[in-house]
Amino acid sequence: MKWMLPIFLTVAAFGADPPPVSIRVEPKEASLRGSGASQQLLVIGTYADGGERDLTGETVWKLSDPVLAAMEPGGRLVARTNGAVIATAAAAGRTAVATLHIQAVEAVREFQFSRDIGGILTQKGCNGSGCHGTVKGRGGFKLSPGGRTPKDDYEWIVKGGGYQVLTAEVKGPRTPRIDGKEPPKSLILQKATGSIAHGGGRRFAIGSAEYQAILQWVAAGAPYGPEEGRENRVTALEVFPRVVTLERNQEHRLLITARFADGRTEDFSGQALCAVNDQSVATVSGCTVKAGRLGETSVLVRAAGLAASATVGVIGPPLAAYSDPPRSNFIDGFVFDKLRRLRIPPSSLSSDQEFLRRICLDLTGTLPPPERTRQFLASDDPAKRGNLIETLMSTPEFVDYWTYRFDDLFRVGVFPNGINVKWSQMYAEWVRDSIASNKPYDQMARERIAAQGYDGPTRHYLPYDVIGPAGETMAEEMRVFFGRRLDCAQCHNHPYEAWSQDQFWGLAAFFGRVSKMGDTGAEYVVFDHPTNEAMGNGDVNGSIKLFHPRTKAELKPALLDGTVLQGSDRENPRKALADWMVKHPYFAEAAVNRMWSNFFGRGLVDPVDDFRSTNPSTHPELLDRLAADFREHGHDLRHLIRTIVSSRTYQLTGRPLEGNRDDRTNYSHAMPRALDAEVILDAIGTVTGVPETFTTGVADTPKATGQAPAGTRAIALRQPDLFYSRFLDIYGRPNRLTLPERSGKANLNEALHMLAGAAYQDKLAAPEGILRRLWNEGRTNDEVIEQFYLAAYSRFPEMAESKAIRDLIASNGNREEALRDFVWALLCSREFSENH
Amino acid sequence: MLILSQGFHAAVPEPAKEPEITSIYPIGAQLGRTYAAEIRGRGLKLARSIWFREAGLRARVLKVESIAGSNDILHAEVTVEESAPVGRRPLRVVTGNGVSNEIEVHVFPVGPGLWMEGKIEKRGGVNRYPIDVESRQTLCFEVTSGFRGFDPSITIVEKTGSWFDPERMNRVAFNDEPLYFPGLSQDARLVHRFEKAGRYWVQISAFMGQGGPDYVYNLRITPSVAAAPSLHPRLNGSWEERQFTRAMGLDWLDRVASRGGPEAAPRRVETFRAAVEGSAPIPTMTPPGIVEGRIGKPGEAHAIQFKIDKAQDLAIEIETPEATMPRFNPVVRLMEPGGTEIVTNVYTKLNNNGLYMMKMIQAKTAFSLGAPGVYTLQIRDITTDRGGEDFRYRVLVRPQIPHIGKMICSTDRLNLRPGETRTITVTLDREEEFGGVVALVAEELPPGVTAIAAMEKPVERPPLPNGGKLERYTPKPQTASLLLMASPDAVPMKMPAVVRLVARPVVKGQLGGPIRVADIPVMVLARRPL
Repeated sequence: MKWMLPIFLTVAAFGADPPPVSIRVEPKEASLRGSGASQQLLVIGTYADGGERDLTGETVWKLSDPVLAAMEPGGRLVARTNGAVIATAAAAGRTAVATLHIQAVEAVREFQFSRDIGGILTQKGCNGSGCHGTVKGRGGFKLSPGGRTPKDDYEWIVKGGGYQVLTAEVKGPRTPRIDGKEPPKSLILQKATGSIAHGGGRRFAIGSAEYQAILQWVAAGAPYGPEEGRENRVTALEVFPRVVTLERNQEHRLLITARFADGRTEDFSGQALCAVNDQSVATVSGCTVKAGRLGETSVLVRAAGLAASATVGVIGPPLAAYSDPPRSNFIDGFVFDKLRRLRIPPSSLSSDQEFLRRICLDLTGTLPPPERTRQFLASDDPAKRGNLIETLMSTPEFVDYWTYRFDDLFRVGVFPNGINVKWSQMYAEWVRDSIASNKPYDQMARERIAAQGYDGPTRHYLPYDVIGPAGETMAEEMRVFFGRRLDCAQCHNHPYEAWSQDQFWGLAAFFGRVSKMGDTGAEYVVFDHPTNEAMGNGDVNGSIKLFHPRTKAELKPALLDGTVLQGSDRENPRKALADWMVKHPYFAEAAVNRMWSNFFGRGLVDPVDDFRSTNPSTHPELLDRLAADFREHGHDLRHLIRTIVSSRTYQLTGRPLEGNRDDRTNYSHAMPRALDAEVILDAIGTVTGVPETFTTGVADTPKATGQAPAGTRAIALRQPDLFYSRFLDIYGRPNRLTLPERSGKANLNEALHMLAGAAYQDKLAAPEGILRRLWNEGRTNDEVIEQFYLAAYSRFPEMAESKAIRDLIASNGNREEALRDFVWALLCSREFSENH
Repeated sequence: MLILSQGFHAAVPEPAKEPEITSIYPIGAQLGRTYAAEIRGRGLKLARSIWFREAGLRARVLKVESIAGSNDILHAEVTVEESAPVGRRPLRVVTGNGVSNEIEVHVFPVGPGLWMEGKIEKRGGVNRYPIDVESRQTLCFEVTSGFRGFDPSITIVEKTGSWFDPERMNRVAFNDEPLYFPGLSQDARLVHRFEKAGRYWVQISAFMGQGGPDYVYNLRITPSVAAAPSLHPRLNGSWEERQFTRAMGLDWLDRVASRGGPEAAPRRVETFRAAVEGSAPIPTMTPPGIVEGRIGKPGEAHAIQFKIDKAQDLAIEIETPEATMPRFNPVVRLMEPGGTEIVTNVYTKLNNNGLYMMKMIQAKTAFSLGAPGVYTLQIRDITTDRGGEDFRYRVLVRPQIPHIGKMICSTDRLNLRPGETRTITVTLDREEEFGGVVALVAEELPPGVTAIAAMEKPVERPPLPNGGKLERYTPKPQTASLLLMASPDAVPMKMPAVVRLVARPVVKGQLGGPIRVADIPVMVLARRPL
């Protein structure tokens, strides 16, 4: 439906502001079905500066046929008779219309526990993660978070009993929360109304609509109603608008729409629980948001066992002269539109020197050589940036660097891959070949997820020589390819998210049959053990079956929506999973988000593998568009990289403006990012001209039996965990035993290493180093200074810098020592150790 | 056997050391060539000769260099005659302190291509060889290691440079070995088709960047795809019946029976074909018989039935003549009439803490069928994603034949001083409940050396608690010993004699034919170390 298209709303300055240039009604068209059906309508005004605001509160409505429907205050239209009614909104001197199709008003909607009782419990916060929706419930009463599993909730309410995490057995005596003989004495009513002591206080009043609904339900024998089917199962919640911008104290209604399995939609604005993360930025009443202090927060919306979110930005007064920067591609449209709505000015385009260093490090992990820097800075070719991007993407350093990045993500290393160097090598070669051939990312995912036999990607199923537990393996695949952390749901339904324990184990079951064949530990072949073929299991009373840890039911592979895998028991179930995963929207959005973070230091959703309703994207429409573009281009990683780095957003300068200095999440200017340990060590080697030597043990000890060939870069180490490097350890090289998370934060050890570490001191003093060579060539101080500035910073020194350094050298009686100090200072500076 | 010697004696006595050799450089030569070689090792100073067990190879000792703190270097001239057998040939060095261990010298056939000998002298070393190729030329690169600890890698690079470094050598192709798997050679082999003509370089390095004087190799570049690399493990023993790659010819039962004493009668074996499961009626075979087939498509399973009229002890043997583990991992399951699996070639046990099932496919399974009936044999690959033209199998179903299986000798040489006694231990496998006596005999002993049978403390291994049905998949091992004694007046030998160890099964008082265990060089040394 058109009204669901992503739209930014901004409130223009009110009062003295000019009237809107147009208004519109959201939704523009809707269907209402059944007795008592209603639809919340919003009236949105659009202003000359592109801003929008909610005018619903000041709208005068007129219906084409008042017999068909009635309009309640606040813009809620209630159906009366079948037919089509046109609602005309008049606000701020303008009008707009919406068409509503009313059908089957004679049909009384059947009672449904999940909606009619569960909805109340959700809206009143009873089943929230801070109350009875916690893992074990509260006060002996357990409800599923947000009413996600209504069957369970029904049991707990109607039959009572204590919840246990490790078993489905009910703990203690069962005390029903309802009283069929005397409904008003039902615990669920007495507690919620505060008639008897209740830790959660009063949730609703005696006689309220909620009270009456529950009372009538109990009096009617507490039915469950129909089972969930296509016609009554909500599959998604949608919030309009997804991003709201408000000036202080302004308000905006949120429109909550439920999408059913049969494709039907229904207004759930009156049945949802809305909560704001940061109540100093905004507050919420019902589903109306009110702005507080300047800032950005998210509104979490829960209904029907699902969750969704919207972002709220509270903005300052309009900027006097807001200049709209040129846009290079669709990324800029989304980013600059949001900046404009937030009234944050974007910084200017980066300088050539800034761009050159940034793009070289981001695409290849390599500093540009001084002569290349000179050429690039001297060129006046208007296409030189685009040309450089293409050039860099075709370099062997690009393959080296992205192999290293994906080695990290896929955890290539000896110890994570079964304590066998050869296995690690096979796996590493698979990654390298995939990057070098620009293998589509969905194909990489398929090959890794469904890997059988003895090929490279199978090795990641053999951490520490054994097949990893199914749950852990599945959780890692989900983090890597879906960007979701399902781990919590291993032991219980996720307390904050819509991940249930059943979903977790349904997915885990895809990996439950992964087995290894082999004896000595060097020859393991990975295969999927059929559950109905013993293959010797009977000899040890073993079983390949996987059981739900709580219900003890045998698990069958099931997708997130509960679809159980069909097909032969002898087939590789992971093929079906891989096929489903790469087509799932999560796959592309997780991939583009992860790639985005490589270039901006943070994901649109950050952390990149923590997509959840309570951690929404800063730019949801951009994320969607990037994901769509990635899919449309065959999951081509190089296309994605090219798209990102070609955007003006990526190429903005790192110099902030007064108006965007505090911005950390909206990409108004480039943020400095610490170089990875491997990249900075390589960079030190490049600048000094003394590459690092990597040995398989501490150098010059008997354990150092192997050594990487001379000139091997840190990013090209095939088995990094075998090659000792104190520098890399100090600077945060991950051991890849778990999914790497590089903090990039400086530490004291780094500072000490700068002062006395071999990577700095030995290289500066090395006779084969560049400094010594320049010295031997009799270069002047200015020449040396310029050479090292170009090598380390990719720019020429400013005059003041040159003078200060010349003065430093002159003041030191030992010129060589002074020059070493100068280069050391360059290498220790933030400008060198960061990409900016 | 050809023994060549030269009267070379060191002037200064050395401490008593049995000679140990580690490598020879160059590691070999083509047929018909004579070349200078360096043999590295310890205790070589008193080297007298270089000893080849097989004809066609000759060598003479030129001199020995002793380097303090390092290995000795024996300089020799090696001749590979036109008639020499191609392949890896054993070589030993004979010194005044005995015969050395064995290393291999490689005899290469005469053929087209380039041959280069090399050595990775230092840690992190990379040897680079330029080659000029034509457009669309396919070349085969093979690196043969001459040192047990050296696992070579091949990288082909070209000097195409990069934006960052115009001199950069860029990788075109890389290979470590065709497939890394236990039992397979770690020698590197790479076939590459060059799309464009020009100069390339072949880089040789050790897999983990090791290096040293023993890291010797031979690089061979041939202008076309040589024979496909053998992905079959080398069979170490003279008798292998638990390797998927052993050849079970039509005389297989005869050969098995010949190791079981005079009563083990050979049988005729017929060949059958199984049907693809679900596509045709299941055919029937008659044991003893060989089922031949090919898993042509991923996920394909084959089935065949056989009928037995009474309880029987049977064995199933599996051969993979082409693709083998880990590419083709054949699973054979035998189902009773009701469809329940009663035996499989997948040996399953639990790990030490009982948490994990560990599974190993086996080339042979011995078992008992307790009841007559029609049994179904199912054959497939353990994966569901693999299959192909070379996924061929041969499955033999036969009655059990008790016999002596593999025999392993504990030593590969024996250097005895007069009056000294040394022990030779032989571990033999009793296959399929072989219950007879095994006579162990040392033949062709040199003068002054006698052999006496000895008893060893039996190996007492309690059954593993999580071991599964181990007895189906492994023979019962037994250890026997011989004591070799040099009499106090035994005459020191200039060259070793080859003593043949022979086992003979004895069943019901009847002595079976001789079965070779090993040929061991034995040498009587001077009374006092030289």
